[in-house]
Amino acid sequence: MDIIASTGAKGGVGKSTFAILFALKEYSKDKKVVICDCDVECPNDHLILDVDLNEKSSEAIYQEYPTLDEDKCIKCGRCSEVCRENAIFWVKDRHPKFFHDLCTGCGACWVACPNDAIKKKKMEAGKSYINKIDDDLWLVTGKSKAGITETGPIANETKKRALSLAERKKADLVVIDTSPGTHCNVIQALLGCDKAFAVTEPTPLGAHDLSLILELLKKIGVPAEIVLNKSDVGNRSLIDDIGKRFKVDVGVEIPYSERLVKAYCEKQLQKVVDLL
Amino acid sequence: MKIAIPAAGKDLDSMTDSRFGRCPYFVILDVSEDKIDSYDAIENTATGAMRGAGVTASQIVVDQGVEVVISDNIGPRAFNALSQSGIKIFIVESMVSVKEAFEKFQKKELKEARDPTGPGFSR
Repeated sequence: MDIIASTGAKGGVGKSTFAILFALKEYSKDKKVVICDCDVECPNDHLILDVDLNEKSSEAIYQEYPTLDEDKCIKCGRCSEVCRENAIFWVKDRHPKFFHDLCTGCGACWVACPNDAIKKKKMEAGKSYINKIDDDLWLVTGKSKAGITETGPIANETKKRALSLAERKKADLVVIDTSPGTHCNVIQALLGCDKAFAVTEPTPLGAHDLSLILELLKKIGVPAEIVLNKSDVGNRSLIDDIGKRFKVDVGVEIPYSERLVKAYCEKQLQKVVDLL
Repeated sequence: MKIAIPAAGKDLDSMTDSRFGRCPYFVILDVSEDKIDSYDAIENTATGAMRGAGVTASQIVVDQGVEVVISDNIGPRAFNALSQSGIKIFIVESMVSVKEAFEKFQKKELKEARDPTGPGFSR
């Protein structure tokens, strides 16, 4: 089973469009495919595929947060010291205060507490959904709850559920669609992928953000290939230069096409898989 | 009593900074009765934080043993952290020097903050 990602630090370059096109193209070659929407703060693959998220299949995703046992707390401040997210505020001779909206649930505080005064509390942080789109085609969508600002663990759990579905269904391919950016939630989606398509466009911003994502992929050891969307407009030498610098090829080029735009608007991307 | 004022520079003539969590310096005044006995400036190491600068900045101020903060603005987390530590927060209009801010405080011209003044500067 191959696990590939469609990513790219810049928003609006066509990551989701490419992910769906690629998945549908492989599906048309009789492969069993699971699409996994890890853009959990704003999932939209179901909109492109024109399906309603299947509420019957929804399953809560929990995160663990610290909660204080005030009787056991010795007010030492060790938890505040180890927190890398500035999420624990502590004043000498007082109990620490937790800011849950900054917490990633990493667990450093409860490991560091010398008196076992910090308990883990489970809270619902999001949901995952499974849609069967066709005989051998599935969509797994992750969605964070409104107000949750740290969504890495939700992307990670969504990916896990998609991989476990793919195992059960003996899928040939999992296509993971990530959020834009290079933050926790993107990293969680990319870890363990066999390959990542870095989608971009031939503009200065597209080139700049391409260098960010290629740097990240290099760091986490995921092989990359550049997908250049709207390859015949703008200034493509910007992208070629970045590709040369990172020794990554532009493997896929998608020229601007009214057919594609039309199919996208009509939610009929399966009609234009020949463009890949 | 110690007073912390977010500032653009390190002395009494520096202008106050409009951000609490992301100001470059805190000028810490040591005052008795109605005059400044001494002052010191400390760097705010929270300026570059991705998120939660207000919490870290509050921690820095609290560790200095400050009882009063005079600031243009105060974000929700910093307000929460400071007020729960018993620190009083007074709001000064922008574009005054640290010294002028203190004088306004001394003349009781400043209002004590009962709520955060805005949503903070991250995200």
